[in-house]
Amino acid sequence: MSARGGAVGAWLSWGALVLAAAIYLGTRLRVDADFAAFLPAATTSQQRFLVAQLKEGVAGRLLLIGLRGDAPARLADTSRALAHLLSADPDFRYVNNGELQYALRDTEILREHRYQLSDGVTPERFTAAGIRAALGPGVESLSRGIGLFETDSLAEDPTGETGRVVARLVAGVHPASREGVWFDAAGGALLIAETRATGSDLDGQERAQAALERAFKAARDGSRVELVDSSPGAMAVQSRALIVADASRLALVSSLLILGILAFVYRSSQVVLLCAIPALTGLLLGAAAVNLAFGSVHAITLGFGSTLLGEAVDYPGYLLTRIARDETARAALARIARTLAMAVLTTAAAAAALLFAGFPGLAQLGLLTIVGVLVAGGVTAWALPRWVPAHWHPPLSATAARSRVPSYRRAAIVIAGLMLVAVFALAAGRTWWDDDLANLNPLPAELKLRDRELRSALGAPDARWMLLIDDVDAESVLQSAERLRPALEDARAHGWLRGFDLVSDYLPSQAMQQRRRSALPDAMTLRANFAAAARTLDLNAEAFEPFFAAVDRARSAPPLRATDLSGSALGLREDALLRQDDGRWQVIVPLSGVSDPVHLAEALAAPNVRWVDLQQLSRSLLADFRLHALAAFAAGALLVLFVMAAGLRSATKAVHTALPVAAAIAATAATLVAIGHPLTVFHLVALMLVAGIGTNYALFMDARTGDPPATALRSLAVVAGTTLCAFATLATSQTPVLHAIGLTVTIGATLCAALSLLLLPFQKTPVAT
Amino acid sequence: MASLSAVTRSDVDFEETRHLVMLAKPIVRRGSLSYVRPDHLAMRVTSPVDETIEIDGSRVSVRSPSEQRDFDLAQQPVALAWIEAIRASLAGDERSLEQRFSVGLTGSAESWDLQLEPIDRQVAAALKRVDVHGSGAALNVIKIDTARGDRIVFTLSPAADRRP
Repeated sequence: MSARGGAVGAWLSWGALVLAAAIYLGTRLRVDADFAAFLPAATTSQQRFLVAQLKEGVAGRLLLIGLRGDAPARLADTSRALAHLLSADPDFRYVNNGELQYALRDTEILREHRYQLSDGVTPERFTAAGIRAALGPGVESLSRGIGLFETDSLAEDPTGETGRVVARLVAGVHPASREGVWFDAAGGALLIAETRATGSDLDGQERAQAALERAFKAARDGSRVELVDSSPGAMAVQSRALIVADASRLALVSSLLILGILAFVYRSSQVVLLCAIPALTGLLLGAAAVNLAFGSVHAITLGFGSTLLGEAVDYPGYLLTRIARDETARAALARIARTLAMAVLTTAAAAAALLFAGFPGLAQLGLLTIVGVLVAGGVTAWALPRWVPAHWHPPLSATAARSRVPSYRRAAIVIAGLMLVAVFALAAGRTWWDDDLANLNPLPAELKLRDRELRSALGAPDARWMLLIDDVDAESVLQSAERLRPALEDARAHGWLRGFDLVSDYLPSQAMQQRRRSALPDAMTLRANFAAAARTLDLNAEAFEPFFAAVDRARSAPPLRATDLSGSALGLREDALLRQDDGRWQVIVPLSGVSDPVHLAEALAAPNVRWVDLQQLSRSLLADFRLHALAAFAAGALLVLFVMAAGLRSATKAVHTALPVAAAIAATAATLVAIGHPLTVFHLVALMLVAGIGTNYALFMDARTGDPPATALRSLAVVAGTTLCAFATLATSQTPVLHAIGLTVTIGATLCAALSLLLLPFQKTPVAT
Repeated sequence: MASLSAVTRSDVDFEETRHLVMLAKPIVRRGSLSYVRPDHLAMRVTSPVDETIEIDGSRVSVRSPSEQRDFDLAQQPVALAWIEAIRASLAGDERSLEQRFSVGLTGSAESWDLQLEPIDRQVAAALKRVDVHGSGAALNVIKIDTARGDRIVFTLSPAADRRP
């Protein structure tokens, strides 16, 4: 086969492979943004609870909206128009701005079931004295105000049970009303909306966000009204947008820098373009493999995966920089083939450990990396030599570079050693791990502050604290919730919290409903008692027939069930707050305006009541993830050693080669900690890349390839130079995730290159192969 | 009635008698009523208890020594209709009346009777009719009948401080 024929054949085979993968991905790729894949397969009930809350909880769907910047009347008009538009929008399943109509179905349910729901229903309430006491305020109001329609319900509900139920439900929770809609103390109108999409469905949240902005534009109608809004979903969407924008901008800058370096070194546009092919092919086929194996590819897998495949970008560099004058690319490959194979296999071995880490997300990452590096290595070894133009070699000749290594090597080793000791000493007293997700949030502090303000003004549940009541069945758990109520009331009276949402207030236990039903007197007794009360109040008892009928109905009515609440906001709340988990039943009690968690936790302590700190819980989950990931990395490191020992045919040599890498990784971690960056999961993934890159540096600095030392040096300079360009650019990012990865790899790659240079005997006479 | 439309402001004393089916005895309230064009209505009750009700458009505020409430009637067509019956009658605003009621007018310019029946069915289910009696440019009596049998009668007389 001629060289040209080989090139064409290689292009055709490669083209067919890429086309097949592209067609497969184009038709079948499902990118999945459910971040729970990166949480461990939750085992404890608490952890399952957290995952469920994060994925589907009401808190994640709640959109808090404020309108500001104009006169109250204009704000109220805009609020009304906006609520009207959102309530008709399929992206939202509930909206409320304080207008009566949005609570109509709820009020109807509460009115209909008032004798099952009101805690005022006791035997004493329906004696003559009880009725007189309960009726007093209602009769008094007949001689006030406009007088006609405000007291509409008096004939039907003279003891005011509906009002009592409503008052209990909204206590401390709803903002004040002005102009018929909710307003905050600062004079802004307030609304809440619940998205149909779950909080973790970022695309759905993005649609809802766009729908809100469209509706607002229509509702503001040329006025000066401004929209401020906040929701976990909106914040996630914004942070994703920030990351994507930042990453694309930086990728452009670093691509230009890398192109510059490669163009300078290779002086051939064709060769420069060839450099990108192996890694891109690897990423494409890796994504296809993950999609095939898992049915979808996680967005984070793609992000982290393309980071880890950063190593594969170096493969062509190792080949191209080593083509000597008058040598074919194939001959150069033959010299480095074994080392290249080891570079690929060590990374694949390390990634294999991820397959068994116990997180679907990590398993995907492992598979993507394995397939990615194998393909990239394969393309580099098989196709690249066929594609490199005949007679091409890197124009900067080997002899031009220094062929002797520095003579002050020993001194350098001592200095480097001292610096490392200093770094470790600095890092020793500091926190090594950062498990607070919030610190990785790229949003400006101003947005987080706005969220807190709106949340407090609307009395929306705190995103951090809640109670979890747990029992064997729905009836028992509702009874437990009812028993907890006095303690919650008491805590509110103390000012430790502003409000709470107790599902048993609108879905009482059967026992409680039975107790209330049996407190209702029979028709004869009720009429007699009422007549006695009416005489002293100058009332016409006949006008109260609707009341007698309602009580009579309630005495024989079936108990209120969850299905009676369907189609209302109460139904949505009930659905979210009463749930079954692993054969047990749980009531979730969202708390709002928690100001004294310590006292609160103490006061509410009960055997089956758990005080949940979502922040603490997410920290422990993250710490769990870190431990699992570390164990996987350690297993991966062992596998790497085995591969190296086999490839180098000597365990001692393997340890010797691995030493600078291990030292560099430890030093990178210590450096990060020492300069005030406790390690997050993103640093860990970046350290994995450092391990891959560093292992390659060490392998290629070894003498086996038969290159003169100057060639090895030049090779290292080119691959390390491009890596540093890419990741130093990333390190300038304001986005915590990108900054973390960029900084880690920049420090790590520098240390790996330096330590490999210092510790490995690359300047020795090549060993004949 | 037409002569009323020239009025930009009117201040009168009133006596309001509420005959409510729930109550064995009627409630009687006294005070003053003032209307300022186009849609401001203020009711100052002095007996049996002090209370001020101010209505601007659909916004209502109730002030008394013991309470202070603000609400909006935009979503409550019934209440809005009966406020409009009083306000538009005071304003002589026939067009506004005709939007909500079928209007009947009998009598002479010196002594006329206005019969208002709600057009909207939802409103009619609660508010049966409003009858207004006037003489010349003055309103004398407003009678409101609700569907459940309540009757409220306002008897208006020139403000005490303006009586000749």
